[in-house]
Amino acid sequence: MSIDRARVAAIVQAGLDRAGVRLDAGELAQLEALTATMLEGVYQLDELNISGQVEPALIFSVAKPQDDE
Amino acid sequence: MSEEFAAATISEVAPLLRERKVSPVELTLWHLDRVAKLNARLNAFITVLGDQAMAQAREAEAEIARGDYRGPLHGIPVAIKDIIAIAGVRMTCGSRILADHISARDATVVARLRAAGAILLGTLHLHEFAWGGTSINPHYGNARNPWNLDCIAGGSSGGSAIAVATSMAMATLGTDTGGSVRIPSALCGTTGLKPTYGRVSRDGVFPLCNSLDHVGVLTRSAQDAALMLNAIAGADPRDPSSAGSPVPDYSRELNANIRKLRVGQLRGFFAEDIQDEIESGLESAVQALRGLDAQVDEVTLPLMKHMPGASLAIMTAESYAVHERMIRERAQDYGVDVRLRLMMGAMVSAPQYLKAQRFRTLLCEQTAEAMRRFDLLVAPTTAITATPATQESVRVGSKDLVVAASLSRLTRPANMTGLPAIALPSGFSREGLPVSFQIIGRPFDEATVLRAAHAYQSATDWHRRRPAE
Repeated sequence: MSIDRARVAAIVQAGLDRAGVRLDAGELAQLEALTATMLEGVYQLDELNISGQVEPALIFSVAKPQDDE
Repeated sequence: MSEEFAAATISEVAPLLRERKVSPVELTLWHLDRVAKLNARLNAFITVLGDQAMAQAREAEAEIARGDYRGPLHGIPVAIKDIIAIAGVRMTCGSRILADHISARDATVVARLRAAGAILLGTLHLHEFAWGGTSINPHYGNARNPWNLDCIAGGSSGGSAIAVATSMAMATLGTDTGGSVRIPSALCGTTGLKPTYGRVSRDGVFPLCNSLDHVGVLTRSAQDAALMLNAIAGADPRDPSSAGSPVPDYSRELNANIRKLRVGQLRGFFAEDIQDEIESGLESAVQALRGLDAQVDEVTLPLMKHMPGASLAIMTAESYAVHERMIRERAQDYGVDVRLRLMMGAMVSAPQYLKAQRFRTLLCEQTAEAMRRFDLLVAPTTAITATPATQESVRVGSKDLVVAASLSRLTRPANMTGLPAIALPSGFSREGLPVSFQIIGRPFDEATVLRAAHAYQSATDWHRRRPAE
């Protein structure tokens, strides 16, 4: 999946504005590239069509396994 | 005796301390001398607690002399990653921002080590705020790999691995959010255990990502990892994420055989884009486990191909949430790499974060399903061996891969699932750099993980190798 560069640039600029952080041009370009890679991975999760009924692992706890013997 | 300390494990030295054949003062002094001799070259320690350590050692000596022996960590010199609080000691988190921060009290894990009689030698180097796998640090200099000083030590607990590998400490504490105990263990040739999420308290540890952070131990053997885990494991009212499950004596069944233990060799995602020497190290480890009569079969986890994207979204969003105010006020005081990783988290929307956490639920379910057929899983720890500190990409097969991603790709699954995992040395590359594999267990079954690791180390001697000085 390729991701639209202009869209990523807009997302990054909005994120920086919200955060109140300024970056120089070199770092901005790096952040756009890193963000594009990350969002590509996130968008690929759509392939799985995960149901809204799946409980997100928000309060993460690892269940002790049931005895499967 | 002193020269023998260099190769000794806690399990070997503890009986000598108990029988007063070795003195805690002598042992601590020897380790502090090692730090004085080696640290300028390797950069493992940020703060050395010489006077405090010697005072603790004298106290331990007096206690043992009057018959108040506390157990196998009594009089053992250890050191702590500089992101875990020690009362009255600065905790920099490897950052400029917290360079002068003094901790008001001990983290629970530190308090438990003190209670067990361990001697605290100092605080250890790390990747800034534990947000990276190399321990390249613009504020405190780079931690250096003892097997090749030009190479990275791995991270984020780089100092923790160096100190154990070079006998500056007998054991260390680290933290592991995406592999930060296991990666430096792999690159420096030590044993590194990340317990189950909730097994060890994180009270007093500066957070990186709340749902992924673990405290772990770095040692010279699985047997020593069991001793350290015995001391620090268990519920803690100060940490709501800590689990109330009973804590067994991890040393007790260490010597039981692993005959008929069902081991799943992870393939697919775990076998892609890894160096030949890493693959050979895993294969020789699998052969060793088969030689111990474990039953090894291959297994794949198809959802794992989506793990990197989901994991990155969770890590960046959670870490940004921790640093939001500090980065707004002091962005220029962060190193460039950490500044950019943190800012990535500002680009993750709430629905995307939730989608990643929903995926995580499915990943946990798929892994749990596989673990109904297996007692343990095995995989390489890292896809590559240590690289030169100046190198950002590495050639693997026909691909150029990003070093940072290749270091953590195979360790992050155990953070996403919360499963216990131990990194073990399994050979060396042609360049003489350590190679490692990991054993992953069922939730809260560190006992089986450690038993298999100890059986493997009883049949091999890779964990006994030491870097030249």
